Order: sequence, then C-alpha cells, then structure tokens
Amino acid sequence: MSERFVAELRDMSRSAERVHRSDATWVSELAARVRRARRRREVALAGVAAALVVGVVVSSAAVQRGAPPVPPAATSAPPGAQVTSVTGHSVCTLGPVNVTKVDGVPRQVMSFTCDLTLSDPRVSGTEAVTVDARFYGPSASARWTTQSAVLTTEGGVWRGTGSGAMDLDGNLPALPGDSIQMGVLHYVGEGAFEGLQLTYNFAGRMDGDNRGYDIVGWIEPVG
Amino acid sequence: MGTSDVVEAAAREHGPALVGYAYLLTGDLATAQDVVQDAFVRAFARFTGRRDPEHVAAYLRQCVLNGVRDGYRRRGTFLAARPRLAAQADPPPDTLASEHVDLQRALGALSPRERTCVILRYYDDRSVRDVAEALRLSEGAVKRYLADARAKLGDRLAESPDDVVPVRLTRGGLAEGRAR
Repeated sequence: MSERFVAELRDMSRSAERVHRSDATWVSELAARVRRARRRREVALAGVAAALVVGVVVSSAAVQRGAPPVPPAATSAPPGAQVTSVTGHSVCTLGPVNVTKVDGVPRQVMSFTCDLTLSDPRVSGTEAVTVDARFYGPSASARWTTQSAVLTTEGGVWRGTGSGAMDLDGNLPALPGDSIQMGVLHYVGEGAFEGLQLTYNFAGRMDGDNRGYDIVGWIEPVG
Repeated sequence: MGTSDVVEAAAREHGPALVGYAYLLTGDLATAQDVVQDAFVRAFARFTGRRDPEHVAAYLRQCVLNGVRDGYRRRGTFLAARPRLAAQADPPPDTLASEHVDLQRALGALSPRERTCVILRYYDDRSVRDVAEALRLSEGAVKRYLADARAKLGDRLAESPDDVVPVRLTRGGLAEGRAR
C-alpha cells in the first residue's frame, strides 16, 4: 500500500515540476533576489568589520592622546593602560561536534582549530577552542561560551575564556541568507607572556566547515 | 562564470525537482516556489565558489526542508490554514490540481507537521530517527504524527514496526505514547 502511495506522491511531484517549468520569470526573479542579498551581505559585513575596527582605533587613539578617560565598553581597550592594538584574521576548521540536549535545549559542543594571523607575532599562532553552544530559539541561532581556549604561538601559550553568538541559518534581518558568528575571547599569557593579557573581538561568516573571521583586539598588562 | 550565471544554471538544473519536493511538503505551488527561492538565496548569498558542486543539490534540498520547518514554526497559523483554504476553494483550472485531486484532498487533511513527517518518512524513506533530527522533534513525537497521519490517510499507508509509538503500562495507565 505504501509503495502505491509513494508512487502517487512521485507523480504529484513531477506534475509540480512540469507546471513550474512553464514559469518563465522564476529563474530571473531568483537571480535578482540573490544579487540583492549578496549586496546587502557585503554592506552589512563591511559595517560589522568597520564597527569593530573603529572601536579599537578610537580606544587606542584616546590612550595615545592622553584624552580624558571614558567608561570603556566591554569590547574596547581600556584607556590608561599600556595597550598594543592587534588586528588580523583567523581561519578556522570545525572539528568534532557533540550534539545533545540540556533541559530540552539543543546543545552542540563544537571544537574549532584556527590559524590566527595577527599584526603582533606574540599572538599569531594556532588556536584550539571548544565551545558549548545552546540553541534556544526556533532557528539555528545559538549563544555559546568556551569550554577551553588555548592559543599557542612561537613564543608561548595563552589560555582563556570567551563567549559569543552564531546564526547558522542566516536569519538576521541585516544579513539575509548569511550565517555569521561573532564573539569575544580573553586570554592570559603564560611563560614568556606571563603578566600580559589579550582580548580580541571577532566576526565573520560561517561557510561550510571553513570559517574566516576578522579580528581586532589588544594586548595589555594584567591588572 | 559569474555568480549570477552559476545561480541561474543551478536554478535551471535543480529548481524544478526542488519545487516538486517543496510542493509535496507544502501542498501549494506558489509557496513551494517561494520556499525554493529562499533556499537558493540562503545558499548563494554567501556563495564563494568553494562549495563542491556535487553537494549543491543536497545542500539546497536541506535548505528547502529547513525553510519549510522554520516556516511552520514562525508562520504556523498561516501555513496550517493554507491546506484547508485550498481544500475549500474551487479547484484551480490547472492540470496540477485536476490530476491529483484525491491525493491532494487526503494530504490536505493532515496538519503541516504530519504532512512533513509523512513526506520525510515515506517519500524520502528516512528512518524515524532521521526525521526527528531533521525536524528537531523527539522520536516519540514523530511516531505520534505518523500514527495520526496514518489514521487520516486510511489504507493509503501501511504501518511499519519502526513507526509504532512504544507504550509502557503502569498502574496509572499508559506512561508514554498512545496505543495504536
């Protein structure tokens, strides 16, 4: 009985295909929609990157000019400290993903390995980050915190914590069709980097298993 | 080949089959075409040319399913009403409606969730576990939707052992699921 039902479904699907093929404007409408979405995405991503860069540049400039201190935002460099700004990018590969549920909330523990290329060699290296992401909403959007974060460079090791958010479905109104991840990581240096801390913000799109992110941040003394 | 050329080529190659699939899931051709367009926009708005062309069709199909699934979640009332509205209206004068009146009427009696579960389970030949993961539902919920759908579809669908809701008898009655 089910075989006949499936055959009926197949026929109905083919009928829909046939009627759809007669729609002469569908493909051109689609191509126009994709072009508009790509333009919006480029503008939006440029805005995100620019906002991050402006945040650090303004903070850094204020420090260098000896400007009156302003209450720092959580993601901007604090005034009055000996701050070294860093910028650059990272390319991350997604490793194992452990999917479970916690109190009914889908949870994914994801492991990323990232190559960080930053303007300061002290913080350029390989980063291993494991995040605990909880998908609270109806779409594939999650908030995450780190389970572990280790940045290994030629000069030493940094260990830290972080948090952020990701939208895998591309449902953000400003970024239709694009999946994006952004967050903040805070590291404390070990060994040769003892007494230093690194904070950086990152944002970028998630495309398949390879993800590229823009980074802006700063190195400063602990305390 | 520019992105627009790639999009148009992919739309001509994969679009019709995806629309046919989305039509089964939604029961409405215009909605199916919209869902598939959304899937293409989602897939190609960030297209970098690095995606393996062999995986494009599978990726688009998953986007279509996600779109239907999330559409039901966000616009559940509207979409849930559409099959009923379609069933009440006079059949449109196209061959699509007139060719499959009985089947459309039978599927129109299903709720959106029931319909999606039926298509994934029987048309896609996925396991109950796969259906549950795809729709982010529990396996028990999928089995209940399938059981309810079978009851509405009558002898069009045969039951398979994998679809049965497990029932545990306790002093208080049925602890889980419903007897079918």
